[in-house]
Amino acid sequence: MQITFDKVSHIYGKGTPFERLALQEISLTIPSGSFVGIIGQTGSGKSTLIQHLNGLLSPSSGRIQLGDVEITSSKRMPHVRRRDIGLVFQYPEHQLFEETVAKDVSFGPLNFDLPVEMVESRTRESLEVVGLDYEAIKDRSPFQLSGGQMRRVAIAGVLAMQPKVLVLDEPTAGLDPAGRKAILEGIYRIHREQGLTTLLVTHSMEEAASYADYLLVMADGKVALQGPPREVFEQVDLLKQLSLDVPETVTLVSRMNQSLPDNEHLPHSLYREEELIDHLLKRLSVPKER
Amino acid sequence: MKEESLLAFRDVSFSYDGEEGQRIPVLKSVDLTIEKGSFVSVLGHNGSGKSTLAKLMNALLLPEKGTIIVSGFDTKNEEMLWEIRRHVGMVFQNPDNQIVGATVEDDVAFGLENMGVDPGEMRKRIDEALHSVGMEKYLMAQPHRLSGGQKQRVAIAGIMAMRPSLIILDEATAMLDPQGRQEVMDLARRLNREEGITIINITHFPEEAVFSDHVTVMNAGEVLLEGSPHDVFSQVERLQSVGLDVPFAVRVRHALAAKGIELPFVLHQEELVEHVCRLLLTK
Repeated sequence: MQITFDKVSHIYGKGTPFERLALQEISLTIPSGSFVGIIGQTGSGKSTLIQHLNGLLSPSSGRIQLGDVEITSSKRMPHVRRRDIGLVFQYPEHQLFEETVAKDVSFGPLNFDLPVEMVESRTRESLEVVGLDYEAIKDRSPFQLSGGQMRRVAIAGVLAMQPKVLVLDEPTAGLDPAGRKAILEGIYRIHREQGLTTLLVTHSMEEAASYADYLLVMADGKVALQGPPREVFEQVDLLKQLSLDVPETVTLVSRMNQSLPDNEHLPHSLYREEELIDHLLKRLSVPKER
Repeated sequence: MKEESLLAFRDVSFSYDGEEGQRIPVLKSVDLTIEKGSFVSVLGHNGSGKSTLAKLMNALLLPEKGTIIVSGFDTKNEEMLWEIRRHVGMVFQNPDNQIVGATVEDDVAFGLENMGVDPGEMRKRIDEALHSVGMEKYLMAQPHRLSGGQKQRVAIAGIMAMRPSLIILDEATAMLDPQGRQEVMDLARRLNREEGITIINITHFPEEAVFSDHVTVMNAGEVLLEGSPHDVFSQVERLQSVGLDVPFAVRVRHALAAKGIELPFVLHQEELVEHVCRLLLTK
């Protein structure tokens, strides 16, 4: 589903002493099927931006186009269309509430009046997609699970709605490296298999570099930078100015280029670790001249 | 016990009650010594027992078997409980769950009030503590308006005001953004270097461990590896086999070595750049 923002602004607490301009005339287009990394410091407007996608917030001005649905300050998102957009909040495990894992995951689809048999098959499928064994886990209390498992159950609850757009707000915060990888690999697989449009809000440039095909860098309620990762990472200085972390691969390449003569420079497009290592291997093992 | 060791675990075991009432062991015969003035990192993935380790260090939990000695006191000695807790301050993962005061000043004063410190002395200690974490300008600020990193620094100030010997950071950076993480790590290193505070940083970010004096790796309730960052991170396969990551430079060097490109051991990116560039230019 293509997503378009046309000069979208959002003001919190309009007309009160706490009035704050959180989004400033944002314009962007996210083509259907892309995997977008949204990066920015705390308070840069990332969360405000994504809450516009499923009607939790309405724009104060401007226009949002989600597929064939148009949203403006006066035109709200129709209820039935909300299930097209799956939003996974930060620490989604805090929103688990049911007695069993199966009940929790099926809550959303049942709420949209889907037939019971269909809900059950979707629940099974979604739990398996996030790497949990349906039979083993369905009757357990979500509160007896480990933190990483709880988070997967919460994500399964969103997937069970079979959204067309999946929006994740820091899905790996607080998890250990193995847990982070398991969740992201799962998301990436669903993204490809189901042809979703995926938006991943993250603090980790490494995560953005490994999965996203397009990056949005937010700062002070505006889009400071956007483009394919290789173009965005070329702007090392600007990213640092915005106090953003640059992937270690990118700092390695720029540091090496500082110590190497021009004709030996490494290309900036080497922001993925495997590609960087392959490149170094090629350069180091083949004799340069004969 | 040696003079310089501040904290020691001797054959410590601990278990929790499971879902069906069975005992689930989380620590199995752990021996551990923390030297006074050192910066120690404890690495391990979720469920490895590292947080239980932290809670045993300031007597929030008591060992089921074995002994834990903090500053010469057994943590089982109830009379010394307050003394132990004053010596060992703890910063937890969630910055929003550990602030109690309505202002930064109140929050730092909380522990001192509980100890019955007199007002003049309290004033002095609050100012010193906020100064040492670089938050003196926020004396009257409301904690909920601070960033995550600032909140954690206020929590550390609350501990500093108690004049501790040891600060335990229990995944204190896990919920912070990169800038907040950097702030907290810089502060911990400075307090260690300049004020002689012993630091134990419990984390799953391997990059945070490269600057420590000592690294302890926990896995399934046992100490899997320990030693200098060099000793520990040179065992890449062993760490990866239990689902732990290694710092970027170590990982790249290891991947090159696997294909026959040998470089000297590196922990930091700067060293890696130097070695790789030298190799490229001499080819």
